[in-house]
Parts: sequence; structure tokens; C-alpha cells
Amino acid sequence: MKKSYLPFLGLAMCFFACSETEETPSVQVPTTYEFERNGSSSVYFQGQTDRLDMLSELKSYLAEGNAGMVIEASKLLSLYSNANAPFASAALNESGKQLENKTNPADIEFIKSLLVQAAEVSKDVATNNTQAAEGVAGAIERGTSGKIINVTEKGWEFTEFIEKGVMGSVFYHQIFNVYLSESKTGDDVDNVNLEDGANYTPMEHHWDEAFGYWGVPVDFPNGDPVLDDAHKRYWASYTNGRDALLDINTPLMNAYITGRAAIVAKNNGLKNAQKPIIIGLHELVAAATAVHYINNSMNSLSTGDTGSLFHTLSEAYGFIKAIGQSPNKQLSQANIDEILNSDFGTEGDFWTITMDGLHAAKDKLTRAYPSLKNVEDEL
Amino acid sequence: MSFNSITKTLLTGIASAVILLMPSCVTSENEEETLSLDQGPYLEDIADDYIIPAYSSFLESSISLQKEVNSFTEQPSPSTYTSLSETLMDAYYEWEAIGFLDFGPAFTHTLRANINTFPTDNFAIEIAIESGEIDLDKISSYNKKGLPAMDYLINGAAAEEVIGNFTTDPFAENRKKYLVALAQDIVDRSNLVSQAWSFDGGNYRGTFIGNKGTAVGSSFGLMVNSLSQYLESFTRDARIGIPLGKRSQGVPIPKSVEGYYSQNSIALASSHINGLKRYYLLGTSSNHGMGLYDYVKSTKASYGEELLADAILNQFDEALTKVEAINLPLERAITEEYDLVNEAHTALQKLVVMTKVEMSSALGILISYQDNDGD
Repeated sequence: MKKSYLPFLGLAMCFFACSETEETPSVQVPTTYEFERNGSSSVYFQGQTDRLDMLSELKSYLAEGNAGMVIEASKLLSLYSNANAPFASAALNESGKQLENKTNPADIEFIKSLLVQAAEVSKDVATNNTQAAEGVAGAIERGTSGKIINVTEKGWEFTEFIEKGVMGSVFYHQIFNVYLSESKTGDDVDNVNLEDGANYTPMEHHWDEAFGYWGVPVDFPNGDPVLDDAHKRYWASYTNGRDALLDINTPLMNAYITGRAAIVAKNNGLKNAQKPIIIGLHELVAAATAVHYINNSMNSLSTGDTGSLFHTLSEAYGFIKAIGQSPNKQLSQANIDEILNSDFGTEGDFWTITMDGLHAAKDKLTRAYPSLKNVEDEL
Repeated sequence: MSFNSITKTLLTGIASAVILLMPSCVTSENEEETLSLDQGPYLEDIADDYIIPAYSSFLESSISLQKEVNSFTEQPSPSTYTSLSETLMDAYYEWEAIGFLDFGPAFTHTLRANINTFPTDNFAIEIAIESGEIDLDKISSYNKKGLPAMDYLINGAAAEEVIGNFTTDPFAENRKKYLVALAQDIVDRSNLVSQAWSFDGGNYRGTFIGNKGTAVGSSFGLMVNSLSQYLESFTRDARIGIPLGKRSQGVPIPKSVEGYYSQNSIALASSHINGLKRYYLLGTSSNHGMGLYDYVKSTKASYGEELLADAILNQFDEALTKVEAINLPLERAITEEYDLVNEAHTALQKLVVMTKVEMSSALGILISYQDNDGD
């Protein structure tokens, strides 16, 4: 089966081979993401784990709105910006970290306005039991599952839009455009001196921070279970979810480990070769997951299950928007815009979705990511 | 609730176990035999002996229905009313034989949701009639259109009152327009699907027959997935389980039965299961084409003492017997004959498992649809 990352892998292998013949420092690539200096670990990404935990608390609070409770805009905004000790975890409150200031600046307004609206709608649903309808924000049941979700007047599910929004606009944005950028892991970044009071160089730490936003355990994907409950979330979970069909876990993990090992060995060529592999595979996960949710949406559209349709469309919307964070994206921005603003209903109004629109969106994705074509119905 | 969730969990468990076992099944004898079998003759028979004629029949019924709607709206009277009411039920029975074919053109045109979303929203229909705004093209219109909406407009009150609604009522003209639009929409959509299958139209028949294999997107993959999902969501749940309260902590929901206003739920369910059985067998026990039954039989998969193919066939009969044993209209039976309805539900549940787990596994077809309980 052809995989889109094969060329990258080939490139990496070439570098790998070359590094030996050209007598650049030899690279010891371990099997897990564990590195030591002077007998103690040099890996550190607590700040990223904190932000993943922050999203978990934000999401839980949003879900209370789906359960018919009133949620407050002030609290939602505080959870987003870590103000006024909003978290149940004291460690998070005192971490000095937050989601808002790490968000792609272009997306902050979008997320905050949804948070404010989520609060308004929760009040309306709790007080008036307002049901979602065309042009009306409110509650809607997913099938006959008894699961209720609150949606905007366009059918956008708040919880999904915010969760997937943060996954794209914070986690992917930080990996792609910050930590794997020239300014954080380029060849000129300090890879000699240790940071004050730390056991890592700035370049090592920046690479770890990219890895931390992915959210997998250091022995991924060889643990049993592959993801324990603490790691079964966000990009780690979606990567693993697509692995059976696309074989992504090991190549992506190897690229992160190889890059980090190359930094230790001061082998910039090998380090740099990992970046497009990492970005390409992360992007593929978002695209494949979008196709997965488009398939689910087609099914719900056919069965006439509007609640489930809006849920899976909200997921798909978030994953397609996340592709937009990639600096190398294979799906053009014009195509992304067309999917979100036209294929997914007029100006993204899910109430106007059609089967043709869903087919058009899926078609754009499988054209841009040819490795998805063979498995487009199984995803 | 607990019974339901346990069954559900159990079923999901079994299904996932089967899915997990799938890769190892790939080399089993059944699978090899299935793959070496030429699916062509089966697919041709299924298309020519069942699907295409069934779509044609429904299209004819919907055209007859439209004619009766026109006669009635031009001249509402007891005789045009009776004629319309009977023709509506005829069309509904024909529909029952194709509603479950939810793949290919029917899937693309969301035929089922457009024609038979129930319960219908009688309040929203009245609001639309008063405002005179008719919009039947959006997903928000599913529960205001199709056969259930016609059932409400035609059988929603005693004959005399209904005739009055179409003559002396202040909104009589809007009501006529609404009924005419509903009939037109049913004709248009059934025509689209029928055309898509025909040689002169989209020739989906050609696509269907050529789309061999057992992948999710192959013709057998589509048939088994859509059949299993339909049995689960619409035969078992929508027609019996939901009215019986299986999804509402045991609280029955009379208004959610199919054909609520005509009080014909049992006859409709019976037509439906008969249709499923004919689709599966392609004819009578003594004279049938090569359909799903023969295809399952060719795998020699067994079910207890008998062949799986026969066990499924018997289970269709069992479900039919149990459904037809219900005496009262379903909206009353769910409380007054609870045990009979529950037995029908149990029989359908068994049919779901046989299709979703046993049949799919015997044919090496992955069940790719998911229920709504996931995240």
C-alpha cells in the first residue's frame, strides 16, 4: 500500500545512511523517547501536559452545559486563560501556563466567542429547554442515545468545536509553527549550553515541547495498553485510532525519537529531515480523521439522525480546520475554506448540508491525501 | 434501562470481538471459498429479481397516490377520501419492501429519511400550513414530510373532519397545497432512485453488479452493512423498541409507532419483515433466485445444528410470527399486550445479532457503521 510519508521516510533513511558515511557524529537512536545527561533525564515537557490537562477541565465544564446545567462565560474564559484559579487542580492554577496565549492569534476570537455563546445557550436550554432548530441555538439529542448536545444556530456543537479547536489552534499550531520552526529548533538555536537550572539545551527542550503536545507516552506504541487512560485523549488517541488502517504510530514516534537523538548528536541534517515527516504524519491523522467523521456524517444524514449528524460534522469541521495549521499542508487553504463554508452547508450552516456536499468534501481530502483513497470507506 | 444497556454492551462486546478476530479469519476456509465464488450471478439476481422491480412498484404506487391526492384536493368528498386513504396504505405497504435498501442511490438521495421519518411532527406541519411556507428540501423537513406526514393529514381525524379541513377550514387551500407538495416530493424522489438504477438512467445496476469483493464499499459490503444497520435502528428500535420504552427507561411512547394515525403499525411491520425475507431469499422457499440466502449458504457457515443461511431464514419467520401475534394496534399493545410486543422485540434482537455478527463474519464483511453511543 502506498503511503504518503514514504518519500519522507526514504529521505530520512538516506540521511541516516549518509550520516555514517560522511563521518558526522554517530547517532544513537533509542527505542523510547527517553534521553539522559549525566545519569538523569534530559527530557521535560510538563508545560505541555499541563495544557492538555487544562483542555480536559475545560471540556468537562462545557459538557455540564450538555447535561442541562448552566455554565458561566466568566468561568469558561478563565479556564481558557488560567485566571482566578479556575481549575480543580491546584497545580494547574499555579502552573503559570494557559491555553489562550498559546493559541494561533488568528483563532483566539473564534474560540472565545464560542465560549461566550456556549454559556448563553446553556442558560437558555436550562431555563426554557430550547430545542435546536434551523437558525435556533439549543439542545438536540444524538439519535435515541439519550445524549444531548448543545449547538449553535448553525448546528455547531460547542464541546466539539472548542475541543477540536484547541487541538488545532494550540497543540498543532505550537508543534508546527512554533517548536518545529527555525526559531525554536533551527540550526542556530543554542544546542550547547544548558538552560539555567535545567538538564537540557534550549534546542532539546523545544523538541520535547513539540513532542509533549502530541501527548503519547514515552514508550509509544509499545505499551500495554498502547494508551492508558491518562494518555487516551486528543492527538494521541486520534493517531492511534487511525493506525490500523494507515500505520502511523511507529513512523511518527520514530521521527520524534530520531530527531531528538540527532539533536543530542548535533546532527542537524538528520534532525531537520524529521520535521516534514512529523508534520506530514500529524496532518495525515487530521485528514484521515476528517474522512472518518464525514463517513459517519453521511450515514447519519441517510438515517435522518440530525443530532448525530451535527456531532460528527462538528468533529470533521475541527479536524479540517486543524489541517490549516500545517505550514506544508497538502490540502490548499482554498479547499479548506470551500469545505467549511460551502460543502458543509452554506457558510457552514449544518442545517443546509447535503449528501453531495459531503461527497465533495471527502473527494477533496482523498485527492489531497492519496493514501486515504484506498481506505476511504473503511475509515 | 439496565437490561437494555447490558444487552447493548454484550452485543457491542461480541461485535468487537468478532471485528478483532477478523484479521485471523481472513485465512479461514469460509473466507477463501467466499472470495473464490463468482459474486456476479448473485448480484444480478438480487438486482433483477428484487431491487429493481421493488423500486418500480413503489414508483407506480407513488404515482397512483399522487393521482388520488389530485382527485381529492380537486373535489374533497367521502368517495375521493376513501380512495385516497386506501391508496396511501397501498403505497405504504410497497414502501415497506424497499425502505431498508439504504445503500447506493437510495443512500445518496437519503430516500428513507425523506419518505419515512416517523414520528412525524404534526405541530410543525400545522404551523407550516398556517404560514403557507412549504420547504421540503432541508434536513429539518424530514419529520414534516413523506408518508408519515400524509398519514397525519389524511388519517389524523375522522373522515368527516378531515374533509372539512380540506374544504371549510380557513387554511384549506394551504393544506391542499401541502398535501400536493408531499405527493409530488414522494414521486420525485422515488423516481430519482428508480432512474439511478435503470440502464437508461444512472445504470447503478451495472455498478452494483461489477462492484465485487467483500470490502466495506463493495456491493455485498454495502448490502450487509445497510441491512444490519436497518434491522438494528429501524426494524428493532424505531418500529418496536422505542414505542415499547426500550430507550426511555421503560416508559412507553405510543406516538412514536409507525403509521400512528392509521393504526396500522402491525400490518406495516408485517409487510416490512416480509419484504426483508423476500430480499434475503429472492422468492419462495421452493423457487428462489441466487441471493443473500444462497450466498451465505455457499460459505457452509453453521449456526448450532443448522446452516446459518437457514437459521436466518427461520428467524425472519419467527419475527414475523411474533409480530403478527400482536392483536391490538401497537400504540395500545405496548401497554396492554406488553409481553407479546416484548417477544417480538426479542425475536428481532436475535435477527440483529445473526446479521450483524454471524452473517458478516461468515461473509468476511466488516461492519463499519457505528451506533450513537460512541464519543
